[in-house]
Amino acid sequence: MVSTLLVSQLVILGLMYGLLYGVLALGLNIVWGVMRVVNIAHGDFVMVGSYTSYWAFVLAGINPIISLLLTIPLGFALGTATYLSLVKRVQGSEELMSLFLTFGLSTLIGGLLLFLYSPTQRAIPIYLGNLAYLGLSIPVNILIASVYAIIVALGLRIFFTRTFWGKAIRAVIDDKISAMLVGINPSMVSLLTFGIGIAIACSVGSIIMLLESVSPVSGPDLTLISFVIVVLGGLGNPAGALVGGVLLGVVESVSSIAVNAAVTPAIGFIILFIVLIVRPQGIMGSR
Amino acid sequence: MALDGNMKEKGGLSIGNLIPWIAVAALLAVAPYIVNAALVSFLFFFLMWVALSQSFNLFTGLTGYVNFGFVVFYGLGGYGMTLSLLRLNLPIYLALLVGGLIAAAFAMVVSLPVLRLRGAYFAIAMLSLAQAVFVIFDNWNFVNSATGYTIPVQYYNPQLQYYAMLVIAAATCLAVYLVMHSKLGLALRAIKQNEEAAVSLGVNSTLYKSITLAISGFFAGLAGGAAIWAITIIDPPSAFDTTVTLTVISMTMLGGFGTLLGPIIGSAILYSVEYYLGLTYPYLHLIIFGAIIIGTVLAMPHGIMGVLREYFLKGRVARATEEEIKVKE
Repeated sequence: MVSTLLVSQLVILGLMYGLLYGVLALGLNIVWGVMRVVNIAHGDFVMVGSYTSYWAFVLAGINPIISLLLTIPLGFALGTATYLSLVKRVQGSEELMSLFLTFGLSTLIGGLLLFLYSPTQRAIPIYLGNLAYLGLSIPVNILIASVYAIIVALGLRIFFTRTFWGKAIRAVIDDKISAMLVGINPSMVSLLTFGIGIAIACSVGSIIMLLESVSPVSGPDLTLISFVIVVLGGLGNPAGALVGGVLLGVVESVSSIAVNAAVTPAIGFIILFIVLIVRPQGIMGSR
Repeated sequence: MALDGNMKEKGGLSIGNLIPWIAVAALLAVAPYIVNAALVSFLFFFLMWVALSQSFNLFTGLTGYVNFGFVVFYGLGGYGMTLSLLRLNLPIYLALLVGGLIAAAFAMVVSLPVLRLRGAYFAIAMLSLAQAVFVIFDNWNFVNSATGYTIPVQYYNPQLQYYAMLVIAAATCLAVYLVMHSKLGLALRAIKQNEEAAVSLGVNSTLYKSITLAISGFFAGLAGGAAIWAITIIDPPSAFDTTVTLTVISMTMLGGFGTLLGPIIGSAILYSVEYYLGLTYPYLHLIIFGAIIIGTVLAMPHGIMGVLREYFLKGRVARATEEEIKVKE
């Protein structure tokens, strides 16, 4: 018999992992929603963040939480540069083209990381202890990750509801033509969205270093997980991303009671597959 | 579209059109007697990439649906061949055929749900499917899970393997040619240009797409089986390696989607690059492949074949105009 304590422990861990999953998918979600560009290279940008934090730690002893100050601006700069030099030129043409373009970008970044740093797994040995409460035990590393996820989600929420450009981005997600009619510059919105999306991706890369080891080939897997979440939560729906992330996190975590841990990654793909077939607009999406 | 129109124009199966193909096939057929073993091995893998990129082209090039999970056909073909060789003791040719059929059957079965999806959703569903199959094989005792299999040494025969791959590559090219110039190819072209319009005119798009995916899977499975026969080792990470998908995309993209020659040209160029760089600089070819995909998307979306065709079309138009002017004079 599985104890209630074990289940609640797993649910809480899943919830916390899920929040990070949600933020991981946020960047992909807004880029997809605003620009109709599926960024296959999303996970590789996460890896760029991870590697930046890794080297900041190894070379200068900088804690990955501090190196967020490095990876967020780096991600924004990379995102805007990528948009201006590459993505802008395929925006509006066939979806096939942007798929191939970002796929090429993913290959390029993955290849660069492999070429420079070899396929070795890298990890930052930081362990911040456990919090014990009511018989539950929660690693502080995971707690920090989920707190970071909440901060990013709240920050984005404020940005989307209180600022002009945030509202402009939402307007373009809702109806691009009407947004242009009221004077919103769609390429400025795209530039900003891509910058923010990649900045979030890179910053998640830093946070991931608190939790697990990474290698250059982890990128595509992260892209896939993000897809699962975006599809679960619905396209262009930032709140949906968090719900999708938490859902996936909890399902993965709780299912570890029943199935071998090695099979857990397949669960996400199977969920994605079923959702795509049964309800392509996502659980929270409406189209 | 002008590009498609031209493809149909040179469709006739005349002797003149066939001569270069026969010459190349004959040259490849006598190669094992002329060149050294290293070069034969090079040609073997070149032919493997021709077969793989051509079967990728068969589906993605003709329908416009991006199959990011292509490697699953290669892997299933490899496993199908290995298992029927080792478990059922089938003769090798039959084992290869079983591998191809398993991949085709898998394509047929998954196409029912997956082909309801369009665009990016289809691409992602295939990608996740390939990953799921990888994880399942990695943990499935029936297929020896993560350990995989080694093909016993008595089956090893470089010359036989080379000819098997040559036949598979030639058959794949022929299949692409036949599909392009059949009713199926016509329906696929209609689907690629405007699926709604095609469906409203009575084209059974799901049926045609799933048949095409199954053909693509069959040939990829054959090539996968023959490749594993030569490589002699199969395990889930190598059989379902995303790099295979990535490589065929780069090759087909560079040569030109939806053309017969494109994937062959792309394979020749990129496999040579990989072969020569891979020895001294591991992973450098990945960077080059990525840059080539990006560059091709931005500068020549129809690949080398598109550039060539545009060049020759321009020449023909220029000559036609010249003649017209002469006539008027």
